[in-house]
Amino acid sequence: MTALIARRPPLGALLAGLCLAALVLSALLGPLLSPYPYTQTDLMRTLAPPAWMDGGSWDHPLGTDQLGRDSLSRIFYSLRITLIIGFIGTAISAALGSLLGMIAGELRGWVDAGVMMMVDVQASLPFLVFALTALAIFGNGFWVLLAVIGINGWEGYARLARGMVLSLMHEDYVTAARAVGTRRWRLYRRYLLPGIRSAMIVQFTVTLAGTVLLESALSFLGLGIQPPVTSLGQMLGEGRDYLLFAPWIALAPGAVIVLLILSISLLGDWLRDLLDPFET
Amino acid sequence: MSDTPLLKVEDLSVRFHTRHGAAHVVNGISYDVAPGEILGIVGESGSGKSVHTLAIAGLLPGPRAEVTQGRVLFRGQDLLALTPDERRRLRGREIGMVFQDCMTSLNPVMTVGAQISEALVLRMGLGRRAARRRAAEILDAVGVSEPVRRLDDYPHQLSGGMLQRVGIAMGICCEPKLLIADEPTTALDVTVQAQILALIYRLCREMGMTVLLITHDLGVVARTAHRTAVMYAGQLMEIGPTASVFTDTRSAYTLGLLRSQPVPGAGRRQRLAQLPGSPPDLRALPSGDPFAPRNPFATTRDAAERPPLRPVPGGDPRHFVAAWYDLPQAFAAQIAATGGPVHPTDLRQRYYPQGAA
Amino acid sequence: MSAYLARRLVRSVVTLWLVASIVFVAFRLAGDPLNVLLPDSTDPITRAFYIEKWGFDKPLVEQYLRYFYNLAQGNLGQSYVSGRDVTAIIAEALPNTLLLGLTALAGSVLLGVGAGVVAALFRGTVIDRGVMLASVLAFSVPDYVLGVALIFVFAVQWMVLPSSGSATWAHMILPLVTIASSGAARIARFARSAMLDALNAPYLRTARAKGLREGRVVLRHALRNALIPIVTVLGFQLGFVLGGAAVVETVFAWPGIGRLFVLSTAARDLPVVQALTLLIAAGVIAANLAVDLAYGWLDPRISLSGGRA
Ligand SMILES: Nc1ncnc2c1ncn2[C@@H]1O[C@H](COP(=O)(O)OP(=O)(O)OP(=O)(O)O)[C@@H](O)[C@H]1O
Ligand SMILES: [Mg+2]
Repeated sequence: MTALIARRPPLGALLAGLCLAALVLSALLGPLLSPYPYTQTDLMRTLAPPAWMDGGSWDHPLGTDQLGRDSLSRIFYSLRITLIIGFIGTAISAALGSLLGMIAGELRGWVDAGVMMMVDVQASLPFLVFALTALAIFGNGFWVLLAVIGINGWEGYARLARGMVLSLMHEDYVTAARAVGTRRWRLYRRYLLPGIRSAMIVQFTVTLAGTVLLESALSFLGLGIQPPVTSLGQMLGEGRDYLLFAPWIALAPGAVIVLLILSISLLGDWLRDLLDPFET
Repeated sequence: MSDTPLLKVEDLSVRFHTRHGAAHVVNGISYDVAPGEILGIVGESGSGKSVHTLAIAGLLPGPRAEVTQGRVLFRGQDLLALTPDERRRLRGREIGMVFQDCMTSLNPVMTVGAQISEALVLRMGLGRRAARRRAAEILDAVGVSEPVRRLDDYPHQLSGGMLQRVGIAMGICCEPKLLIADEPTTALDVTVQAQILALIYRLCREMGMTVLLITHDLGVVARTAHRTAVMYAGQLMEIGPTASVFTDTRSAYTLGLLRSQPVPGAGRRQRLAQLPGSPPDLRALPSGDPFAPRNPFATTRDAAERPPLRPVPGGDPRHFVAAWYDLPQAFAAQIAATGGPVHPTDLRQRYYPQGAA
Repeated sequence: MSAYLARRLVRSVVTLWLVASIVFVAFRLAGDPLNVLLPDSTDPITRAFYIEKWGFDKPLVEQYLRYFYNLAQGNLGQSYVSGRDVTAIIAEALPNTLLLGLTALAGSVLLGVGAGVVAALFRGTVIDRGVMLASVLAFSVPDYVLGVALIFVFAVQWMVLPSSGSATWAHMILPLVTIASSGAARIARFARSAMLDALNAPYLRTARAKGLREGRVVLRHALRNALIPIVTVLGFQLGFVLGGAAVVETVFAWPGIGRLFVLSTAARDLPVVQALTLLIAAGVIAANLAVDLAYGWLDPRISLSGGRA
């Protein structure tokens, strides 16, 4: 009801935005900011604590891991990987889901029934279960991982796009546009995309958070990103074994994951309130 | 009708706190209603009709809404001075309510019978059996067919007209002294509308109930209400015996409302005069008569100073208007000057074809 | 039973059949499973023995039918790794997961619905903000991070709780908290908005207009209506618990099906993975069916009209 303009973002969303911007920026500039290459080991200085703890030094601001690799450099690098995979995976599922949803809504009949059944199937498998099964069957190569992560969340977009196509079918202006022979694709660009955009944006934030969580979980379990490449989840998984002597190895990437997810979901909530005219 | 009013509203004001500032939704309205009387309340959408009755019933929504001044005397007792629990005890028992859209204002997951019996058991102290029997009687009284079977129906199983009857049954089941009926017929088609109004009218006479009847339909008011109050921007513009308000109209706003309504039975081709302009922003009300900007008869004084509600000069002594201008005089002047527009006499014919009261 | 529920039942069965078929197809797509399972140096005789034993020599259609026949018999094959019956392996692990998962589910429902309803009742106040903040936080901390953090605080720093295993009831506390917190957060958010919808519904004003006590208005009228959407989220929740079990059980070395799943995936023990996938899918589908049943029971509009209006 209230106009979109003239609404300042609340403090939480503002902080979340700043935080996310900082994270993305440090992922982008990571190679410049990193004190060391992320794979460089230093067996003389393994398990060094962060600078502010006893025995720490500013050579390694966040300390080092069991191989003497610099935690800060590895976090920059991991963040990069996590975000790249997150965005690519989300983009894939957005494209895949929207396409399938549109086709289903457009063709109706068996195609529609088939797509909706796949949506049901997807909904019946918790996504981590689906991912684990796929990795067990196809082995955990990078492409399998990317495919699995790209599929995650497609059903949300499919539902959205299908619903939109179906609701548009009955609109007079669409019938009229059809009657004068407007091409399907132009029709969608003119009428469908604008109507669906805000819901898509919200869906994107939800899926992005889900994708980051999934990749991190798989990597944490040792089934996702494989060494020497690393990601936040993998760092956490490795560091878990050193909680007793060197908790920073696990806690630092864990904190970054939390910040990342927190800022994405706060921004998503705010966007939802902003874009959804029906929500109070 | 006795002289001591059942309900006396004095200078009541309600404010809503919104994101964009305080909205002055009800601004100092005063009126009283005698026992057994039906007071029709009309006015454009957003004029504060519903909100002021919610204030009377103590049902304003949460901390957002606030009664900023005034008194509501119910049988001599100031409702606004009571504790929330004391007010709760009055609701249902002394003050019944019927809401507009019974599709949404009945609980979808409770049977009709349970919703009526609930009030009878908890508020009248009836036993479950007795309550059920009584509920069936009341449904019968409001014209629901096969009342006993309907008791076990859920709201979605009933038609709109039946639901509205159920809504009325719930409003009157504890035999309140005052019934607030907020657009009880808006959602219904014309024949059902007429039946429901006849029902309210009958109940009012049989039970000696006093009714505040809110509606957009002036025809309904003309046929049902003893007196009519006209609201605009949270203020009372005109109030008086219905016949007098309709035939000796003194407020330009009332006139505008009358002219914007279709005449029943006059066919399709009548010309309806739209009220020009739109209601004022309730967050920034003008200091004068809020209707002045839309009113061709408004004087400079109307624009500057809010007119109080005063007895109309040379008319029914129970007829009051809030205006500095004098509508009949203004018309006479206009006719003299232009030979121009029609005096509201044609409106008398609309609602009172037999002639003025 | 109404047409609606019958339709839902059919749909559930079809979904389960589809899941099973997809798993079957995927297994064949992955190439000759023997290459995955047996070392390259395996001699032809051993190879032939295993081909025969696992039925890979039969035509695909026969394999497919046999697959469903075996599933129906509850015969899930033998583990490639240990050679034991998959049924037995799962039977060992499942009770642990159910114990942990159902307890956590119950806890998160109670906590989540309670917190959400209270937040809605005190909308806009400090209480509401507090609950929502806590829920956003709990929601944003993934299970594996929370688990590691809890171990760090309670097992490493304070040394008051064991970090892994399942020997005593104390071993259950940390995994329980880990699973329940995100569930409670999700449910709380949902319950709050469902409750707010109900509190703002016109029928609530009607209930108040009858002069009912506020307690009855809230419980009998608002909460009763809010429960209808809340049960949907419970169906999802079981899925989250089963999916999340993989992570949480691994973190805490809890010997349930989640950990079994992860270990089997790592070892590519396909019969076990297949059985667990089907089991979990069946669990989620059954939970959703139960939710539909609960829906029909809670919402009188459903059973008669044959669907949501
Ligand atoms: N819950 C609320 N929050 C904020 N403003 C409100 C609320 N309820 C009503 N208002 C405002 O109060 C004003 C009067 O509303 P009210 O419902 O009394 O009008 P009405 O005369 O009954 O109109 P209608 O004929 O449409 O029922 C409107 O401007 C409305 O926007
Ligand atoms: Mg109203």
